[in-house]
Amino acid sequence: METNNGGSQRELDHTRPRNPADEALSRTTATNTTRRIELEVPLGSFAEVAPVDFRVRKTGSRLRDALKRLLPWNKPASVDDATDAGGIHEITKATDSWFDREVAILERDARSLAADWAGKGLPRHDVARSAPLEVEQFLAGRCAETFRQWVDRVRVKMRDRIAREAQSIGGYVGELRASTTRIERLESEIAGIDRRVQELRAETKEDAARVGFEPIFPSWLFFWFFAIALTIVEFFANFPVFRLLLPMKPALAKAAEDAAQDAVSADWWAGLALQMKEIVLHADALFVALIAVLFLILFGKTIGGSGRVLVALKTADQPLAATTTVRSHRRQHLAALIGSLIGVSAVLTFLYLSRGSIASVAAARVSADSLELRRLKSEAQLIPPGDLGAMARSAAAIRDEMRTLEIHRDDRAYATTVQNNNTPLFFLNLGLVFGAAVLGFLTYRQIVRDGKTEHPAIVQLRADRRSLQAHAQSAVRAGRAAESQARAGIGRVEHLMTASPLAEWVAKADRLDVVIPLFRGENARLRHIDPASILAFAEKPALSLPTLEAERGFPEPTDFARLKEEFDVTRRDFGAAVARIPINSSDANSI
Amino acid sequence: MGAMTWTRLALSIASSGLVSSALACGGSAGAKPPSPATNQFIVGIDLSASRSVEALRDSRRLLDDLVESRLHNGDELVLLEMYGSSDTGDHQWIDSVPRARTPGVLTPTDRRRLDDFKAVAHQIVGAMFDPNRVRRIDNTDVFATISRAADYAKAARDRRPTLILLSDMENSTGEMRMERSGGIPSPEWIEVRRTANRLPDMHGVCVLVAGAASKTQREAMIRDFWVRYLAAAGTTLAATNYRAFVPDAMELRC
Repeated sequence: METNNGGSQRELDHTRPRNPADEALSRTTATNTTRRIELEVPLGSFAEVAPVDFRVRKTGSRLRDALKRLLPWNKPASVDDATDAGGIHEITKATDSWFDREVAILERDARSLAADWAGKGLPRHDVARSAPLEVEQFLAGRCAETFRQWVDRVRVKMRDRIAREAQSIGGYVGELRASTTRIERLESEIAGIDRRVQELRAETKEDAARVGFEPIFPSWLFFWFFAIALTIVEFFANFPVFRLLLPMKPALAKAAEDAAQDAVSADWWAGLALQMKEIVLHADALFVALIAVLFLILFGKTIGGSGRVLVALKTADQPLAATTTVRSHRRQHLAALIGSLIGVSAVLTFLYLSRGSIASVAAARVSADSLELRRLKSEAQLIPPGDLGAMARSAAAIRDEMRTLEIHRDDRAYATTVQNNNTPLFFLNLGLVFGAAVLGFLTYRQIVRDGKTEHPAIVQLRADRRSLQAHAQSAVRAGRAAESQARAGIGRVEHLMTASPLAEWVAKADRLDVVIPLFRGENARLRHIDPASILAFAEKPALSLPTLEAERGFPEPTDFARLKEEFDVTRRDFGAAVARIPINSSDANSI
Repeated sequence: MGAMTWTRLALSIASSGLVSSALACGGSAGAKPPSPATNQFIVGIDLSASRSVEALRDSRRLLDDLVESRLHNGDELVLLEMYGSSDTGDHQWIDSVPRARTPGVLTPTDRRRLDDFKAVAHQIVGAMFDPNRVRRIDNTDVFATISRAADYAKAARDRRPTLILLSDMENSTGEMRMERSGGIPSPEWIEVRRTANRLPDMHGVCVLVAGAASKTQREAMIRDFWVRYLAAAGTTLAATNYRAFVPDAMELRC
């Protein structure tokens, strides 16, 4: 007999003869004195070779044990489950229990009958019997019946299990066949996608025109020169507004004034130095103004660039293959254009409104300084004539305040000028933003398709191919699982067919052989007589068990050979299909 | 080029340019010149009723001229009223002009600070010569003024101390009234105090007197007394520096 691995069953299980007759002779050798019983330990069967749990169970109530079993966290030991799953012991466990129960009943009845007969002084010890006692014949009949029932039960269970295993093998083979069919279908679909991709590539090559535009002024020097110039002009146009809007701390203002005064000299760079020092010292105004200006320039350039895209790229001008991409680009740039317009509007509106109220802000500071100066002067009037220190402090404070007032008056004059020129300054800002937009328009570059891109439909096909490959992977996994299950099922059937759960019949017979001696011994004991003194017990018990039935093996299921052959064919088909299909997801990148 | 890259580059160029320009313009102007010597002017002002209105006007004019023409950055000005200055702090004023940030280089800020100081000093001078106060003062304590000046001169540090006494130099206190006959102490009186180490230490102090005449014998005796007294105190009062009228503050030097 061939195994799944191609070797003979005898090679795997060389201790077991294939012939059932030989099997009976070789497994159990009964002699008058000793009997050797071969243990049923199938190769690879964990169930019957697993270590037995020798832990001593605590004696407790059955109710508590039952409740413990119901609790979800008290899962039954997996080792026990594994021990029971699919093994011979699992099949014969209930039958052995039944047999033990029946033998116990027989022994109980034997004792009862012995007591009953002993109470009546039977059998008479001095009367020899030529025929077996009636009660012993009754007990022998019950023993034979129990033995025959045990054999039948074991045989039926084994046949049922073999039939079920064969049935499950059929199911697994069916699953394997279904997986093979599915893989073949997926292979066909993937091949179809590959063909379609090749066709689309061939079409794309014919329609590979370049879509996009180059800058009108491609020089980077041109761009950066005007970008920096715009930023500087915009900054110097707006920085004073922020300087007036954001008041400095008095100490910082004083330091700024000192620095500004120190910068005043006859040198040619004195004006620039004064301006730079003022800018740097007004750090808050510097950063706010710089960020505002940079955003203005950014918005302006984005407006120009996006406008260029909207003007230059038309779906009507492009081949069909680029229509989707062009629409996508136009859509994105339209959003950028709208966002930039909103941003420019917000910033310019803020600047316009700020300049519109800047004179009043500066005037408020002048008013506050005037009040403070008036207060200092009135306090100076109250200083005693001899308090020269207080007089000096007051004079210094008045002088500082006068200087601050003078600065703020200058600021007010400047702010008034700025406010009066608010509209022209607005148009200056607008013009600078427009300049940034023109710069963006002239220097923007947009390549939608450089002639090397692939057909848009290929992207979808590639995605479909990946999806099919994923399905194929799951089909391969399912098929391999079914193949493994079927192979295991075949192994189990072969194991069950070659197994001999009835080989223990001698032990069972031994259990039954003691029933009649038990009766005799118990009878004699109750009568306080040696059993050997009772002449009716001199004959050997007349117990005849149907052992021939127990020594027969189990037949192979009807379609098992055909099932194995079908499994081999399906397995080969499955392996061939798996080898053909491109199962790796990275294969999709190649198309 | 992406918008973010463009923004980042523009920001870095603009900010670095502004900052570097500002730093470059505020950089050093070369090697530092040596620090000029500074002065400490201690001015004793005699506002007693013994002085005429004209003398007071001359003293104020000279003091204003001193403030205006002789004060520089780093100088210290001490104004002492010559009647109660040794007892209380109300009738004296001391302040100094902030030193130049770069020694030897007068920046606009330094000049502004000097101007501020002068303005305040003029106000203090004006307050001191207030006619309403002058009429109520009837004593002059030259000794206490010199002693206080000696103390200020000790704290002059690196400044050159100059004591200018705008007074007729007639001490008029309860202990000594020089306007009286025999009120001028003898040289022995000075010697006794010098021996007892009771004279102020005036070493290194340039002393000038403006407003004290030497026309009469008594005035000459007073002058001689102060010459001897200051000589005993460790300094020299030259006869050319003991004058009734000094037209120009630039002459106030030893």
